[in-house]
Amino acid sequence: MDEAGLIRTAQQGDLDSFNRLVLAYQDVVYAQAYRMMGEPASAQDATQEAFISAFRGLRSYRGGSFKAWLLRIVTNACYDELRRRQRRPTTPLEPLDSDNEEIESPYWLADDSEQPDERLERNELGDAIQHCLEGLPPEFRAVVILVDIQGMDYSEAADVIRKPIGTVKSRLARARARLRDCLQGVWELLPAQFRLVNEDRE
Amino acid sequence: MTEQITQRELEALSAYLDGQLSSKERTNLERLLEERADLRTALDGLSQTRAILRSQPPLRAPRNFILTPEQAGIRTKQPAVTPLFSAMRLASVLASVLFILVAAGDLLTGGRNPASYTQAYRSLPVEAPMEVQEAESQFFAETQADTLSSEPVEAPAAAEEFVQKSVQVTQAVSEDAAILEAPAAPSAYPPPAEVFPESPGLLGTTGLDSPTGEPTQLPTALPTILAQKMEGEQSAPVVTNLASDLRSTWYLWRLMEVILIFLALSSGLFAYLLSRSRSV
Repeated sequence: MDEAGLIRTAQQGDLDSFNRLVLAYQDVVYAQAYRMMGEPASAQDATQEAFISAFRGLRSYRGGSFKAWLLRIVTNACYDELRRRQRRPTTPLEPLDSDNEEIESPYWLADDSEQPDERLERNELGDAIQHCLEGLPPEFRAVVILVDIQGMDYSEAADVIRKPIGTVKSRLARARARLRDCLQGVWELLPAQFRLVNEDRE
Repeated sequence: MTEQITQRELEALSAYLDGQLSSKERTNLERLLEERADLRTALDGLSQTRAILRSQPPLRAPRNFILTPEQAGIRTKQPAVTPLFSAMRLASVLASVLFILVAAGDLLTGGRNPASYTQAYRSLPVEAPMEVQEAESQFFAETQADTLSSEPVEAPAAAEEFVQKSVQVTQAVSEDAAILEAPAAPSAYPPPAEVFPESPGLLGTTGLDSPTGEPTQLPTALPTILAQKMEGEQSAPVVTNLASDLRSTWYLWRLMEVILIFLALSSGLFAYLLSRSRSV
């Protein structure tokens, strides 16, 4: 049975059909949750909650990209959890310096004794990337994950976050700029292929 | 001098990397890139960041996230069993079984209807005495005429005709009138030849002598007819009472069947509603 058929039967209450959709999309959904939350336990909780919400709200699915629909659910679940944590802050997401100005480079998230380059020596590049992602505001983080990690185009990302394409462009540009600044310290340690100018300009 | 890169220029550079600029916008930006080194530096930085992010291998889910029925909020098929539910279910089953037994018994006995008893009653020789009485009157009239005349009359023929009428009446009794069993016609009405071998008259009383001077034997046909007539008259009220009893019994069985059907349906419906209300 194709995806449309599985969705149709799942909408009629067939749990087996829905679970087949879960198996097809759980990697993508978990990746989104992990990149948003930054740690496996919270990412698993968010993923499970997202699929439960998806099954119960399956009647609200009106067609279009089912992948985008699932990613919207998990992204919103992650937003809710991050806001809940923000109400009980342990570390500010948008810290201010002594002049009450926003700190562009989120080095404050890392241990004071460890810089990104030092971390890269101990950990893989992915950990450094994840560390820099966690320094972004949730709204920026979601867009850069959807476009640059999940491989979506601007219209799909706009469908997920329910915002215009112009908003996707703006948030993506700012997120990339912040990530560039965060990764600046590890630039020299990057593989040679990443030190060269990217040739896939369009 | 390095110009400060504006947010709009930053967005254009980012969109330029993803091919999201119109042809006109792309032309303008490329012209600016040729003129400004800061834009080129910024573009390089964004390009490398984008490449690093896209180089990350896809993450795999650490486990399956398929849903259980409980997680999906699907109601279980088996309802919670309560004593009341069990009792209602048992009552429904018992009432159904009893109804089947009663209905089966009814079918096996033929489903007697009071009307059928009435039919049988009417087929009995209760009416026979009436016809016998008419035939008897006719016969008496004929034999009286015979005794008054000096010449022998055709008594045997009249008697024979009378007997034949009686036979026809008694043969009309159906087998269902076994309650009041009609006597066998031929034996009750011996042919006149046996009774009246030589006597021309039927009223062979002791006051009448046969031509031979010997006393005429009293015929047995007439007393038998009279006796049957009396029996029929006595049997009429018995048949009426019996039919009434049968009718009451029939209605009683019908009432029982209706009650059992009602019990079976109502208890079954109640058990069904209980199971629906308590299902998770």
